[in-house]
Amino acid sequence: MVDWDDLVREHGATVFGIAWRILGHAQDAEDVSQEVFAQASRQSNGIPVVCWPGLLRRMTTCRAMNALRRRRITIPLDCTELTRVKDDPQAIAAGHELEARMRAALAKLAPREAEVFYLRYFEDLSYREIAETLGISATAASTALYQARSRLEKLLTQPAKRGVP
Amino acid sequence: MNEGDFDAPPASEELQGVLRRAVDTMRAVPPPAVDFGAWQNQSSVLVGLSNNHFFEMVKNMILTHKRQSAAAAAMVTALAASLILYVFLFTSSRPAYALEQTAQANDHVTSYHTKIIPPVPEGRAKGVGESWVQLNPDGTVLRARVDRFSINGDGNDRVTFGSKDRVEFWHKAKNIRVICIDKDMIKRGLDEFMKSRALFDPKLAFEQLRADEKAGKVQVATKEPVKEGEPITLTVTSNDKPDRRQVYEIDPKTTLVQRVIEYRGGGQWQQVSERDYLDYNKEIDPKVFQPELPKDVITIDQSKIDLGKIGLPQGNLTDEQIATKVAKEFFEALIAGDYQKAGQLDGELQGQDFKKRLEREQIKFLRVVEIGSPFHDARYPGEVNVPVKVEVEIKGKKTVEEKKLFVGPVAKHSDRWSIDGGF
Repeated sequence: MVDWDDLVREHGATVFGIAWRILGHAQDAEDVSQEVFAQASRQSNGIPVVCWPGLLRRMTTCRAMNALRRRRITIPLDCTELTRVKDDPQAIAAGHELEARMRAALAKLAPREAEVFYLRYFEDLSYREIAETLGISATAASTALYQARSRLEKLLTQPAKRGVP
Repeated sequence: MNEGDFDAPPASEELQGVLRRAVDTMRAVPPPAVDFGAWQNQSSVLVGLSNNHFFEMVKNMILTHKRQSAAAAAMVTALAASLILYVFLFTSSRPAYALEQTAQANDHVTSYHTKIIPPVPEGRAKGVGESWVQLNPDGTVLRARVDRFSINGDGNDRVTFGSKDRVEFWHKAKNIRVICIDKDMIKRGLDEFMKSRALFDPKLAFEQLRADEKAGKVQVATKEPVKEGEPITLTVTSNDKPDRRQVYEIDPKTTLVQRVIEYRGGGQWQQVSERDYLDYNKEIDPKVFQPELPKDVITIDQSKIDLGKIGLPQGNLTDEQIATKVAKEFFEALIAGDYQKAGQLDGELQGQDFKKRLEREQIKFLRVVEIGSPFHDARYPGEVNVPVKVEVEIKGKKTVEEKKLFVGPVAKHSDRWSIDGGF
């Protein structure tokens, strides 16, 4: 079995970063990250892993998206939105709302669509890289992204027309 | 993002814009620092023993070890006798505790006062949050106050007062109070407040525990008090996350929650946070909701600001051009001592309040050294960030300060642009 400490030391920041961007919540991101490492550690027992970064990225994206779909609406314990960066409550609420709407929309996508969308838009992966990461064809990745964007268009742009930032 | 290698039709311009803003916003906030060394392999799981498990264990010991030494048998017998005595003494005087008792007691709560305390020495004295909440007979919030303290000393202590039609923020370090009367802002403020209420509200927290217990998500081990004055303790262990544990302390007389302590680690438990429920159903001093603020507090009262006269009209100027114009005229007004105009461009601090703040902080603006290239800041969609170097005199000492001014459309008057978020 792979050494836990080595695995976490080498890839902890990357895995946590992905989970953080998807979930926007430190404790949830830590949970997902630890689950990913635990699963990766178990799966690698006796089976050599060719590309740890790719495997971990895929596992983290999938698990974080699952967590996003499952979770109730919560806020972090420190609850510092109102004291962050700028003091204007409206500006803070607007930025916060955009993030919240994006996460809510991602949670409504089919799992594959959400994973492809994340890897494309947040990780800047090419279609070939997405295909390799998720073990699907480039055409399937392209189709999933198209479907994701079609659904996101309905979910995100219509409220925006009503004046929500 | 390169759209060139995309076989599917490209996204519409509107969607692409929304996606870009959302992605940039989500990317802009860096992940918080994490102590990866504290992560433990979850294959090592501590299994907690409930009372029932303990009885079962003793029974098995008696049944399976009857041929062992007399000493061992005597020890097991003594242990069993102690347990019988314990059960007789402490459970026969009143019915065994059940979660429903606290749920019912929560229904009669009319007010509460709570505090969240982090497990660090500097936080112990101050806490990170404190709340006072007065409820309506139907359990909804009548009025509330939530104080948030920053334990890292960044001066972000803030007090929020909320009621049905008014939300107020008081920024302690700047000694500025904002009264929100705009319905949208009140709704947002209240939404934020209601979310944070979940952190403090004993009823919400306990309902969640009951739901989790019913759904089999957690195991709850109940320990009745051994001595007078001790609380009932509920040790809650998550089935999904066995490295997490919460200990609820319940007052045996009122069956209300007194304290919730959270632990992480699994095996070597470390306290993560503590919530103290200090008072229930006590009359809250009206001054808590309307405290005497410092005499020199600067109040920004939205009801007294005519948003239609705030900022400058954009006309045919681009976003960057109007943002630069607002920033330039704002500093020129401050340098000239024209606080009326500065207030009009700021949209928050008005006229004499500007003068008051600058005099209080002993700041004089002397000259604009340079206005840099304006740029859209992903964190604040629709706004433009204008970097400005300005020579100032602070408490008698001249210096060149670099300010990043956020300039954006005025609420409900998007044809006008003003400074957003102060300077």
